[in-house]
Formats: sequence, C-alpha cells, structure tokens
Amino acid sequence: MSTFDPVPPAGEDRAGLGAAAVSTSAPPAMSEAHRRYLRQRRRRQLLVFGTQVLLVVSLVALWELGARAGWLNPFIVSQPSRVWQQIVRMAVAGDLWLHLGATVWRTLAGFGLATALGLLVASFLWWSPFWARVLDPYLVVLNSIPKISLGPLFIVWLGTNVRAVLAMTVAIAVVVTIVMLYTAFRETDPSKILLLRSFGATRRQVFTKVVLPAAVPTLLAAVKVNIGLAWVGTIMGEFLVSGTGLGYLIIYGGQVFNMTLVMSSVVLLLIASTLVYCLVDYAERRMAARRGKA
Amino acid sequence: MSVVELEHVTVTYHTPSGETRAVEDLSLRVEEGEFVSVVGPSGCGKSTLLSLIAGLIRPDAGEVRVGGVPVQGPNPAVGYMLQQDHLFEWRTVLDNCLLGLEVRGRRTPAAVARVRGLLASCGLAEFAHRFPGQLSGGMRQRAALVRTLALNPKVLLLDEPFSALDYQTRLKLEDEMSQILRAQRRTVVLVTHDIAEAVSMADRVVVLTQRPARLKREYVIDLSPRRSPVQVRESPGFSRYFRDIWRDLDVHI
Repeated sequence: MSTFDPVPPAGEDRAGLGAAAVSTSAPPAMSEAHRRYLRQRRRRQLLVFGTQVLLVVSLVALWELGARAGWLNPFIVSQPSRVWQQIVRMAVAGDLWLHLGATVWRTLAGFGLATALGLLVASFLWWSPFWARVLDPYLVVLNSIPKISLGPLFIVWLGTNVRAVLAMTVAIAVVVTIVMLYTAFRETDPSKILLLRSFGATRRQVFTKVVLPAAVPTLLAAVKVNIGLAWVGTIMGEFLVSGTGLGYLIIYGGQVFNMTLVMSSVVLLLIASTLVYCLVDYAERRMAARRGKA
Repeated sequence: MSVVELEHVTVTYHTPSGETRAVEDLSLRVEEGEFVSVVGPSGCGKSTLLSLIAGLIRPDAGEVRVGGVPVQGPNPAVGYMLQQDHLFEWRTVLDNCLLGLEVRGRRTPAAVARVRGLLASCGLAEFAHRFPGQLSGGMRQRAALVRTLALNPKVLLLDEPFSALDYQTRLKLEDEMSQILRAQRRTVVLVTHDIAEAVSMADRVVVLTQRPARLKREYVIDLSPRRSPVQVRESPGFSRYFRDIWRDLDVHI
C-alpha cells in the first residue's frame, strides 16, 4: 500500500507534451479565438511554403527565358530544358545510374568509415587521458590543414582508384568527428560517473553505460555534419582521380566546355544529397523518439 | 555493533596550486540501524566523509571499516545517494533502478521483481516504464532512492538528497524517506547543511569543524517517542537542538 499521493508530473518536458496533445486531439469545444489562431498559423505556413516554391520556379523560368531570348549565353550558363534533356538521355543510356551510383556509394562508404574511425579514436582518447594529452596538438594541426592538399599523396600512395577517393572522404570527415565526440565524452557529468563508480563499475562499464549513451545526441549531430563532409570529400576525390561519378562528370564537362553536363551533374548531386540528408534526419528523429524525448 | 567505523582518518587533496587537508584525525562510529546526520560549515569535507565510506577515495592515514572489514574500494554493502537524482534520461525508471544490479552483474528476474516491489512501495509502480523526463522532482528523487536500495546495501549514504527540491516537496520526501528507511531498519549517514533536516530525521547529529574536518560535537537526539520529521519539528525539544547546533556551526556571513 502506497502512502504517497502521486504527484502530477510537472516540468518543461511535460509542458511540451501537453501542448502537442492539445493541437493533435482537438477538443470538441474549441474557442473561436483558438480556431482563429490555428487558421492564422496554417496560413503563415502555407505562405512560406508557397513563396519557397515560387522562388525556385521563377528562377528556373527566368533562366530558361533568358537563354531563349538571348539575354544569357546558353553555351556558358546552359539552360533548364537542355539540362532536363541531358538527364533524360543519360538515364536512358544508363550511364546516369553508373555515375550517380558510384558517387552515392563512395559517399556512404566514406561516411561510414569516417564515422566509425572517429568514434574509435575518440573512445581511445577518452580511455587514455595520457594519450589524449599527448595527441592534442596533433589533432589541432590535422584539423587546421586543408585536407585537399593531401590529395596528391593519396593518389601516389593508393593509386588512381576508389581507395584514393575514400581516403579523401575520410581525411575530410574524421578529424571533426574525433574532436566532436571526444569533447562530448569528456563533458559527461562527473556526478553520473561518480554514481557508476559507487556501484563498483569498471572503466569499461562507465564508458558503455554513461559516457557513450550520454553522447548519443552529439553522435547524431556528428553524423549530420559527416554526411555533408563526405559529399565534399567524394566530389573532391572524384575531381582528382576518378573516371566515374558525378565529380568526374563535373570536371570532365568543365574541361570540354559542356556546361549542360556540369549543370546536370550538379542538379543530380543536389537531389541525391538532399535525399540522403532527409534519410539521416529521419533516422535521427526516430532515435530521439526512442529515447523518450521526442 | 558498529557498522561503519572511521579511525583517526586523514585526507589530503592535491592540486597544482597546493594541498588542502579536507579531513584530519576524524573518528566516527555508526551503529547498526542508526540514523546519523552529519552537519558542518559548507566546504568542510562532509562529502569527503561519504566518499571515504563509499570507498571512492582512500584515506592518507587511519582506517575506514564497513561491517568490520577495511574498505578497499566501492562496496555493494554501501549505497550512495547523491544530491541530484542523476537518473539517465535514456533509460526508463525501472532500467535506471536496475543500473547498480547491472553493473554488479546481478540483474536476475528475482532481482527485477524485487526492484518492482521497491518501486511500488515508493508509489512509483505505474511509472516503471516512463522516462525520467516525465517525472516530478520528488518522484525522481524517490526513483533514485529505489536505485540505491536495489543493491540492498547495509549502509546508506545520503549526500544532501533533498537540497535540489522545493521546500514542500522536501518536507514530504523527508517524511517518506525516513518512514521507508526506518521500516527497513537501514543504517543511514545523512550529510546536510540544513540543521532542521539533520535534527528531525536522525537519532544522532554529528557536528564537524571548519576544514580540515574534525569532530566538534555530537548530539543524541532524544525526542521520544520517535515520530515523523514533520512532527519532530513541532516538539518542544527540537528548537533547543537547533539552537545548540546553530551555535556550534558559528556561521559568519
């Protein structure tokens, strides 16, 4: 038998949940003012979205119109209808899928490698404060060097192949991951660690039960940063060595002055990177929800 | 029989800017089933005292024994409850309470059932599968108590467990906790800077000096019959203890 009155849950989180509940399960007796508020809110959202669509449509239309009317030189800036035809042609011929697939695959592989390696190194640094202090200046130097300058080294060491592209991607993304995660690990609430130590936890248990789970939000943020950097690394790598991929098409198109090919590749890249970002964002939301905080 | 024994214990902290003696030649005994409050000026080394008993730090001199055995490190016979609840927001209340058992490799179905029983006795049965963010401050601290009791410790160390709560919740929780702990005949060492809390909950109050902490005075709280902390606060002897301890602490602002 409980002697306690259950206290109604309180706090900011609850306030958030309550607000969400109100807007989803509209109570039957809704005041006129509240309905007006909701209507205004919806209208503002629609206005923003409409303007967004209008902006891109008018830009594309202006581009096409300018090229047709002769204000813009289609040889230099290409034109939307040509870009579309180019993409359709490539899709039918099949080389679109080859190049797009190559770039997406390299990006995802490089992203995975960089994230895993970063997590591994950051964990090691947390594990060994001695090595963390020893390696600190080297990390600073590695972080500040423009990774693209290492490109020729990768080519010589790894050959003009996909390994050099992946190396470029990892080089660009890994240091940021290490720094972000290591900082998060170190900022774990010391009292939470003390609590675990009072249970007799080993260093390994402290890591797996507090340090790592507490750093999950940072890990997710690092994943978002990394996916962006992985695109940069892959395109850079393809500029330098590859015979396939969107990066190759862009550099090749530039060399033969085929701006339509360049623009088409950029458009494809835009679509692919946006899709991948949405995927990552969705995964992050799912994970946040599982942690009971959404 | 003394469950906790400190004999001539000295602790020194070292930092680059120098060394600080936190505890000096301190001796203290806590009997089985006894509730002892420790008060002292802020920063006097009260928390150090608990860390010693919990085996988180080792004394430079002297000896600490729990259940007659010298303390070598963190010990399942000792439960340590901190100022904040430190519930992990990524675990449910139940999983939080099972943390100590998990660390000790003792998360058995029987243990889980026992922890569920503890949650129920603290009025948290229906919140077992909620996340800490959905609980009020008082409920969170009760969950933290269950987490500590889950390992069935002989000695419970409470480091200002109510200080982060608002006043009403605090009084209520003091009542509830002292009821639970007395019903289970736990040995408790409570560190607090709140004199009223110290007197109202304990059988004995130990006053420490300014740092380095030494024993200044002890008060056996004799306000029988033993009642709840809120009732104790109204009994005539209470204010005398309060005044005496206040004078011992000799607070200068």
